[in-house]
This record gives sequence, structure tokens and C-alpha cells, in this order.
Amino acid sequence: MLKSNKLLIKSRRLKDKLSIAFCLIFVLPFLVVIYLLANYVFPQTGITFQIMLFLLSSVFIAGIGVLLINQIINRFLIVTTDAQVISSGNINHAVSMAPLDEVGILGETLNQLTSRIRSNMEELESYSQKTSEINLNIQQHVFVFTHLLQISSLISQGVTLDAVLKLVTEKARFLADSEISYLFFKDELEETLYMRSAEGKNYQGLFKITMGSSEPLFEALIKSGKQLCLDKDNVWPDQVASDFYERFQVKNTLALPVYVKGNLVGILGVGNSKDNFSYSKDDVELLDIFTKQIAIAVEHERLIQRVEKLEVKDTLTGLYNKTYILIRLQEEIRRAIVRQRPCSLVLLNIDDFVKYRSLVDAAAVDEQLKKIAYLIRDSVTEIDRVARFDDNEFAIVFPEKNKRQAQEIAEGIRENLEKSFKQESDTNRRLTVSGGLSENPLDGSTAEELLSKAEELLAQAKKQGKNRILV
Amino acid sequence: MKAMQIRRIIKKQLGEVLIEHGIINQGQLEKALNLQKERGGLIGEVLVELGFAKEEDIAQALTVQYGFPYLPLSNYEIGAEIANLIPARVARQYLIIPIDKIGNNLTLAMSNPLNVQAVEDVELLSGCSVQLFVSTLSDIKRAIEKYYKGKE
Repeated sequence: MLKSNKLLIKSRRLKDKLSIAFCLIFVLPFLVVIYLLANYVFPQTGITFQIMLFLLSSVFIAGIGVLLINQIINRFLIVTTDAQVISSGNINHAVSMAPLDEVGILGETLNQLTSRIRSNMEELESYSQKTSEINLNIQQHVFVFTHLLQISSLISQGVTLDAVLKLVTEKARFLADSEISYLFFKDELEETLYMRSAEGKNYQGLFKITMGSSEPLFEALIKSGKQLCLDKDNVWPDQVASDFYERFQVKNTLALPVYVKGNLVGILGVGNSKDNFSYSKDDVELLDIFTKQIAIAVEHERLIQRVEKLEVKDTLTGLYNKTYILIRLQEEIRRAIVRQRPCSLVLLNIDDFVKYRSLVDAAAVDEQLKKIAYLIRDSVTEIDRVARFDDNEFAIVFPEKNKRQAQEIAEGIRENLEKSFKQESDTNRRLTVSGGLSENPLDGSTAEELLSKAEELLAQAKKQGKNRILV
Repeated sequence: MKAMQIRRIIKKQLGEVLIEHGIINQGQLEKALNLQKERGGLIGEVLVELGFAKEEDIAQALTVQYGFPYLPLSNYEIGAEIANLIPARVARQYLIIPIDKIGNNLTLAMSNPLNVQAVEDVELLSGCSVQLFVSTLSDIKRAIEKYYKGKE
């Protein structure tokens, strides 16, 4: 904006300058003429009609000139105002077009410039829109990958399979504007699909869904092993689609098979009810990563189970573990029955071990457990089996030994243990054991019966004052 | 007869006794021992099964060698309260059956009186001294079927 200073011509606006110019080129000479006429012509000739006519016509002509100039200036002013509007940011404003003179050309040039600016700006805008779309996409991907990372870390933490599957379904729901996510597992015996995990609205309803493998809904997926898609571009037969809607309460779905070692174990799917919705290639790929995570979790679980089954020893003491000894006990009982022989079970529990734990550090506790384990193993024969049955509990299976024989050995262990801790100055650190003993056939002919009898007697031994074996 | 006494007596294996009595020969015994190793069971049973000896031969040998009296169970009636002194499970596993109880003496019939652990268990269970009789395996099994029918 021009800074106006009323005393300076330079700072005046074009219109003001024009008035001044008009005064300079017209009013002043006119006044001079009037003055000359009044002083030198009129006194001699008087005011004649002719002179008046001249004067008036020159005033008139001068007036036309002023109008013309004014018109030119006005057009300039309009162009300027328009240009000002445009420069203030309204690029959609067009300069009003005049006849094709210099001002018109100026206006047109301005119009051309603005239209070019306008198209550039539109282009920029579309670029920025695209960029933000890409950004959004990247953000979504990052989001998904964060979820995948969470799932992986959960798997490696060794939590239960159900917890992992719940998280996977929970996170899969964030894909493709989904309202629900569901995970079927295949029942290997019955060849049916049952809902293992589901998220979103109506998830309780989803949990009730079971499906035979030959039902039309997922048959194609199970047979082909490829994705199953229901959306704008993939329309199903009316009957099947309405059946799907009835069960799942969504209009669109995308489902992928979960394979473990080439075998179908389940189906992971997401769904929503948006109109005109179609699943992108990205959606398929991302969901596929989720199915792979499930496969890893399932495989992981199977391996853990296998390892657990194979594991027979307690890591700290090197004795057998609980799982193994119970299987072994059942085997020994069966053998005893066939051979018309007895077989005994002894449970030994360290007395007041919780208190002991609070007195010494963890390493010392482990040390004592090892010592006791060694003492027990050293007291039995090669065919007897010793196990760490619980934190502070041991179990011994005595094949071919009846109650009396097993009791003799168990009493020996109890006495030895008492002796070996006798020199401890702190009475709280003098460890002792209590025990319960049961025998096949006297107390039962299954591992459970013998175990429950031994547990019962052990509890009684504790009640009766500890450091004793009850039979 | 106390379990402790039995343990002192049992020095010779049943197989040797049977050979001494001329009921089986060494080859038959070895055959029976091999079979026993394979599938368990008692040597007397295996010998009977193989047809090398009769049940009565086994019972007789036990009687002669170890001094256990022989009791043919078939004509014997056992009271329910006597049978109930030993749970069916124990009777079936050890192949024993209580016959009578007088005071603190329990009379027990078994096909393998050398099963000391079984005798000990019965003593522990009943709190009685056990007097042993030898019976044939089939007699014992029949008696168990009869007196412990449908019992655990």
C-alpha cells in the first residue's frame, strides 16, 4: 500500500495525480487565457458572442478530454483493484476484461498469470493430498508392523497359545476398516471349523459359529487354499451371501487360510459392513502376515508340548519330574499286577520350607534341595525311581517293594536327613521331611489312587507334628 | 507262621525242587524260565501252562519242600465276613484267599506261598498272624470269582 503524504505529489494516488495534472495542463492555462482576455481583449472588443462560443467550446472539448483520461485511469484502477484482490490470495478472481487495448492486454496478461498460478497451485494441492495419503498409508503400515512386533514378542515370551491368538485377532481387526475379526480352528477329528477367537461387535455371536468343512461358505478356501473375498468386486451367490450375513452380521469379508507345515489348521478373517467397499492387495498381504504369525504361534506351542513330553528330568536336582514319575508309577503298578507283586509310592515333603526360604538366599535353597535329592537317591536301589514332585516335595516309586520294605527305606531317609542337618546351629535351618506311603495292591491299583492316599497320609504326618512317615 | 520264618526257609527255588522230584527236567525249566522272562507270571504257572507239570504237582512240591499244608479248596465253604478281611483287589493281585480266622490267626490259601511280600501285606492289613495253606491256582481263581464277585 502506498504511504500517503498529502504534501508530496510523489506519494499521491494516480487519480489525485491526474487531478493535479488536469489543473496544470488545463485549469491554469485557462485561467491565464481568462486573465489575458479580461485585461487586454475584453476592454477593447467587449464580450462578444464569438469569443464566448470559443471559450465554451474549448471548455467542452477540455471536459471531454478529462472524461477520456478519467475513463483510462478508471480502467487502470479497476485492473489494479482486481490485481490487488488476486494478490491478496483470491486467485479465482479474474481481471475484468476490457476492449483489447493496452490496459486490456495488461488485464489479459494478469489473467493468464493468475490462471497459471492457479493451475500450479492446484497441482501442488493434489501433490500434497497424495503425500498425505501416502503418509497415512505409511502410518497404517507402521501401525500394523507395531502390532506384528507385539505379537512376535508375546510368542517369544512363552505365553499361552490362547493369549497369542486373542492378540492376533484383536490386532487383525485394525486392518481394512474392519468391524469384526474371527479365527476358526479346524477340529482334526471331526473335520469341522470352530471359533477359536473373535473380536468386535457381536463377538459372542461369532463364538457360537461352527462350520462343517463341506459347507459352501469356506469350502472354496479350504479346497484351494487361497484367499476368500466378499466385497464390491467379489459378489457371492445370493443364498451364500445371505447365509454369511446371517451368521457374521457383516457385508464384506476377507479370509485367509492358516497353514502349519502344509496342513490347514484354521482360517483368519476380517469383515465390515461398508457399502461399495473393496479389499486392496495391501489388505490381503497384511492379513497374510497375521496368518503366518498364527502359524508360528501354533508351531511354537506344538514344539513346547513335544519338549515337555520328552522332558523327564528336573533341571535343578537331576531327578525325574512329576509328569514322568506319574507315568512310571502307572507302568509299575501294571507290571506289579501282572507279576503278582507289590509296588509302593512314597511322597516326602520338606518341613517348614516356606519359612526356610525366607531365611536363606535362593542359591542356598537350591543347594539344600540338591543335597536332599542326592541323599534320597543315594538311599534307594537302582530300580527305584526318585522324582522332584513339587518345589519341596519328592516322590519315590518302589517297584517290587511292599509297604514294610518301602517304609524301612523311607524311614532311613528321614533319619539320615535329620542327622545331616543336626549340626546346624539355627534350629530353623535344621531341615526334616514328612512322608506318606501307599502301596499297590493295598491302597489301590491306579497311580491316582496311590497318589491320593500318599498325599492324605503326608497331610496327616504334617498335622501330627512333622518329621515322620505315615503308612 | 510268621513271614520272617518263611523268609528263612526259602532258599531253594521252586524249579529246582520240581527237578529234584523228577516232575520236570532242566530243559523244560529253562524253557519255562525264558517264557517267564518274556511275559512275566510265576514259574509254577508257566510250567503248568506249558504242560510240563500239573497244578497238583506244583502244590505238592511246595508242600513237600517247604512244609506248607495242601488244601483242596473246591469242597471248602468260606464265610463272607472272612472273605471281607481282605479287599478283592488284594486277593486278585496276589491270588490269595482267606479261609478262616481263629483269634489272632488268619488262615490263608495261596498258590504261591513263596510270595513273602503278599503274606506281609496280609499281616499288615489284618493285624493277624497268617497260617498258610497251598492250593492250586485254578482253585484259588475259582474261589476268588465266587467270593469276590463284582467287588473291587
